[in-house]
Amino acid sequence: MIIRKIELLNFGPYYDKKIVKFNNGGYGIHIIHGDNGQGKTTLQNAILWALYGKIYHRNGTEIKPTEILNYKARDDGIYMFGVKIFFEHEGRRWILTRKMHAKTFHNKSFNTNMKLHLTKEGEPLENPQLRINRIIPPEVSRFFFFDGEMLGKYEMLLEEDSPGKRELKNSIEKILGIPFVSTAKSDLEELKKKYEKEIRKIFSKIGDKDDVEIARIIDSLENEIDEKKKSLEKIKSQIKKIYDEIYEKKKKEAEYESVRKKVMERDDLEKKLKDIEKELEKLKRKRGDLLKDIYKYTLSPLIKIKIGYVSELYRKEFEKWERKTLLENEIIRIKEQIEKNICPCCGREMDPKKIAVLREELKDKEAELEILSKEPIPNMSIEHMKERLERVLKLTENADEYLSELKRVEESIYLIEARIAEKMKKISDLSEEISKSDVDEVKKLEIEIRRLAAEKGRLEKEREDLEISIEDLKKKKLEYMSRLSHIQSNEVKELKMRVEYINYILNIFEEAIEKYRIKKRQEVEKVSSEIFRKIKTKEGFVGLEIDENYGLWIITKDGARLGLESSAGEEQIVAFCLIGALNKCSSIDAPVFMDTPFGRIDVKHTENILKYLPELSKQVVLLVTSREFKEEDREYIAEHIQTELKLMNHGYKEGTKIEYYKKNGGEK
Amino acid sequence: MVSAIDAFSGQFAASEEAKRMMKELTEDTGIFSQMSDVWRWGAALALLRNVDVDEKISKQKRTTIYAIDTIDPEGIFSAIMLSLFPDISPEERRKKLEDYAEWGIREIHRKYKNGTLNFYKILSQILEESRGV
Repeated sequence: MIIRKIELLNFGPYYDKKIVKFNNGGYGIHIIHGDNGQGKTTLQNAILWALYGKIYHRNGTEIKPTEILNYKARDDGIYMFGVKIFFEHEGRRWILTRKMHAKTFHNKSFNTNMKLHLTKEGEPLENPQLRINRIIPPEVSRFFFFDGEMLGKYEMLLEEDSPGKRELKNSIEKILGIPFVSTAKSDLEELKKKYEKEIRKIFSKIGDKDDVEIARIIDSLENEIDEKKKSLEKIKSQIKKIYDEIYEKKKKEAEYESVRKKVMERDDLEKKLKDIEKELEKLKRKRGDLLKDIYKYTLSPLIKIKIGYVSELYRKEFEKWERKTLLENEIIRIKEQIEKNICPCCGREMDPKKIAVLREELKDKEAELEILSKEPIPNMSIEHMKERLERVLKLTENADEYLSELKRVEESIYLIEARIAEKMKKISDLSEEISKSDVDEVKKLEIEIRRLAAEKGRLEKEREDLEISIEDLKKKKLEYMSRLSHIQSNEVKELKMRVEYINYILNIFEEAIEKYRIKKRQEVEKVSSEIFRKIKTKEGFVGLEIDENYGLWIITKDGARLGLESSAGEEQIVAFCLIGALNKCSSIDAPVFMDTPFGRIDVKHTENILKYLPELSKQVVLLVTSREFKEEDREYIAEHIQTELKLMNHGYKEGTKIEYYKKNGGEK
Repeated sequence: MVSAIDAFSGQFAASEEAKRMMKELTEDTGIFSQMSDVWRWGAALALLRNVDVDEKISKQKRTTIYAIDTIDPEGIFSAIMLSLFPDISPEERRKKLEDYAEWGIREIHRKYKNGTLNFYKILSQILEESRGV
């Protein structure tokens, strides 16, 4: 299948009719540029919708018709959308048209009005869906319409023992054509049964009474075998269902296991938090102690300025006090002299003039003393104040030391508080996650898993019994058949020969299916290894190995097998290699659409994948963002590029338009 | 006769608002060990910046909170206040110092609330300015 043209009508962001035409008849590499939200995924979804009538969100839920219809069309009252695909398949031209037209804007109305048409060389075909499913079976479409952002889903499919893995195995085998061989085997068995029945009919006609009875017994044995086979199939499907249920429950249990781990992690964090809080308390106490003196350091510049004033004040006060003391002594001395009336020098009576002078002197000094006495009593505590201020200055001499200690403590507090906040946030997140889980549920799950395992055991025993019983019945049937071997007729001879041929072919098929499966698996392994070697960036990796369940292993230079979990970074690359190999080994001829294929892949791997693309399929369509596909990337595939388009959303009114891509914003 | 250079006497008072802020900065957050540490630093900051204390703050009703010795055991504030305001009575100087403390407590609290209470930064800035850096 090679897609030549796609017509979109009111599909998602594509308003009215929009056309995507691939040059060169669709062959080669085509690049559709478009940043996020421009309509790349919708374009890919439009193809899938046209093919299968259903599309899904990335979370697995179905996208409803009312979600598909373009907003503007809806507001215009046009409840119609559709996709037309023009493609080439097996040398013929096909046109596939799928449309939905509703009278009201309701999903039910849309769903009951879906129209699908398929024409081959202009001739309408019946059973269009069946025919499309034969061209690309829906189960394998994901290997051709590849969503880079969904790489995680492929990785999930590679998980051990998951129903997803079984689904993947079946899809892979389907893509490789293995079920066709199995179907052929079942068809042969049916044919064999038909001939054997005809033989018995002849026996009933031409045999004696005993032969008729034997033929009847064989018939009834045949019916019994059929019944038992039906029961066996039923039991097998029940076992499968139980197996899946156990898987889901175990997965859930594992989630609870993670809850238990989360509880432990929270407890541990709480313990650590307490230790950190203690450390914080210690630091806060230290800061509190430091802050007791911060006012002194704050005041120190002021003290430096004002200490001179206090000294001066002290000096003046002291001088006043000294003068006062001196005056008091002088007054006492003058008073004594006047009273004694004797000259202290010559010992004679003093001259009245001299006494008058002394009296004058006394009067002055008493007046001065009186003035000084009006002054407050000298406060000697000023001296202490000065000393204290000096002590403050002395203390604050180590300001740099104090500051650096303060800085250290403050920074430590800040860091610890940040650590506490971080831990508390983690604890709160964990608590929230834990609170969502029902702890009793774990016990219930354990009981349920045990019950299911017992049921599975019972059914497996039943299956074994049935298988043995079927084998016994088959033996019995053969035994009865041999009793009829005496009856000879040309017709019987002919039928018996046919049965023998069928048995012979069946034996060949029995072996062939397994051989074919192994051969195909080896082919996938070989091709995926080739791709891997081309796109890998690590020298130590030499190839891939695929086990019987399509589990993937990376093979290193020294022959070691690495599970994907040991090389998480390579998981996406390995998934890409598998997809690439399946495309190459497939019996299905289909294009490869890759939506945002390099979003999660590094530059070097992107370059290697680009170089490999021309080999991947006859038609490769890349839906890329400007971030993942740069101008310089073009050189790796330049000669293979046939079409380059750009998806550009012009808003609500016009929606997404498909334009020619202009390199560097200019050259077309 | 009382000397103009007498040290403070009586008790220091604080407004209810300042008390609430001091409580928040000590008991509630553990930043300061004691409320008196907040009081002292607040007063020191205001003194250094020689702020004009708003009348609203100045006239707010205050109740006694600390003995003089608790706040100024080393007489540092009394010495500074004396050097700054030698001509007013010790009583007036005490009242003035309370005003400064009220202003300073609010300033510290404001810084705490808006997340700029960085002691190292504030003090290093003060010291750098005094050194003329």
